[in-house]
Amino acid sequence: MLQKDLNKTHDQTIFSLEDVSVRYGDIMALDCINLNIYRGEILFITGASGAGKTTLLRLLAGSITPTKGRVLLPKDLTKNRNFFSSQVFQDLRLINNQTGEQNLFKSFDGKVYDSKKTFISEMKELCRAFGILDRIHLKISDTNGGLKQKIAMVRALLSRPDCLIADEPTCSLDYENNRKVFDILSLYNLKKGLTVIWSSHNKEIVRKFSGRIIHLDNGKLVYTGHACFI
Amino acid sequence: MFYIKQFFKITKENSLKGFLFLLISISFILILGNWSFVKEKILNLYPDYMKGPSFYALISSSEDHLSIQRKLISLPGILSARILDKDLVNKQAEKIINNYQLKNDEMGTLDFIGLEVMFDKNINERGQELIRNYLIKLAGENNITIGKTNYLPEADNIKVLMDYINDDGFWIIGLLFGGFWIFSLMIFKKEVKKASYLIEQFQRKRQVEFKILFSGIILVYFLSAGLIFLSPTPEWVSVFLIGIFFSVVLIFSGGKHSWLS
Repeated sequence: MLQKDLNKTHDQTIFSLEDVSVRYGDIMALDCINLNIYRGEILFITGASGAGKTTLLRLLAGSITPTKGRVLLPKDLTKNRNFFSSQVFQDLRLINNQTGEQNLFKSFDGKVYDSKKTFISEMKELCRAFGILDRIHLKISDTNGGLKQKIAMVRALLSRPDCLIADEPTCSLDYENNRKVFDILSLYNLKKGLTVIWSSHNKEIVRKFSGRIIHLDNGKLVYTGHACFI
Repeated sequence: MFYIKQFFKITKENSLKGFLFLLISISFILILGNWSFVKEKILNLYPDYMKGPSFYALISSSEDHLSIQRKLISLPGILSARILDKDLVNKQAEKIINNYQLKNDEMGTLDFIGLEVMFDKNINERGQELIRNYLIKLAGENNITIGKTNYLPEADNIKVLMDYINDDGFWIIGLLFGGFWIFSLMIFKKEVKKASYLIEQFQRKRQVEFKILFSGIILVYFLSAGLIFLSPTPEWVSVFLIGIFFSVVLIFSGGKHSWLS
């Protein structure tokens, strides 16, 4: 994608939250959030456990609706009906009794790939980049947390999404591996205009990456700005 | 094709649940789609079930007993008319005469043909009487001796069950299979839901669960209906009703997808 095209897409709002609140019984998970997310940006959502990060991501994924306020999703804001968001879940949602490769094949969509061969080639390329190519034949139940997270990340990227919504995608990884994952996502962001929404409770890691950051505290949005200024 | 492939893939991956669901679906269609044939086979397992009241008749051997037998069998309400062993009948007759200390001369010639006539189980008394009179007319009043009508003992448990199968079997079996089918569907559906959830999350497809189940069931339905086509007594109305039942249950059993770990 050309730079001028990228700049153009960056102006486009793909998610818009207007005075959004989410309440679970007595607990206010999100309180009066106003937020716009633009196409092609990298957004980090930080906050302590229970701050409302997962609830916010679930709103953006369209899995829940707000108790109050209005959420506009890409299908409402863009003319592109095929806009596709893919997720990396906090609990990963891999099938334990299948191998990593079998799990990755869940992303093989005939509408997106010309052939199975193209898919396999892309899968191998991504697995090599994540450093897991020699271990994808293992059953998920026999793998460690870090490998599982990488498989979940590769699965999400293999679906060739327009937007990646990742909930604590690297919490089991060390800094080096976090860096590697971020570099790959940055490359996708730069080359393919992928919008990345990444939640993390680890501010120290996030501040070393480039992108916009929003910080949640007790369901309230308390900070928004560039990650390096945190 | 994608959805049919997924249906069989899920069935293969969850062989027990998948096999149970397929077995119940196919049996449901094949049994109710051939109900008359199946009912007959079930009732034949207990041959006494169809038997009604019976009586014996002694006919003079000078009469054409084969013609009488043929004419009786062709009557509605007659299950069977069996000619008894001639020697046995004559021995029995002789024994009775001896018991009464009568001389053979007084009884005339002892040369009878024995006939056991069995009514259908549902024939009423008026029908029985008409048949008995018809038999007297056929043989001639002076050439026949008819015994009293013997009624079968009170119905036992198997007979009661057979009565249910005979009268309301279609609906009883239909309800049972309907219940089992819904139960097996719900068990199998959990696996379909799980696979569909992942497909919807990572592929550009919607309503995957419904499409997988619907395409798989449609295929099984038409294959089973094809088998019914080969059967002697296909009952297409039943097959059609099952199709409606499958569709209605599928449409109303939809729910929100969620990850089932």
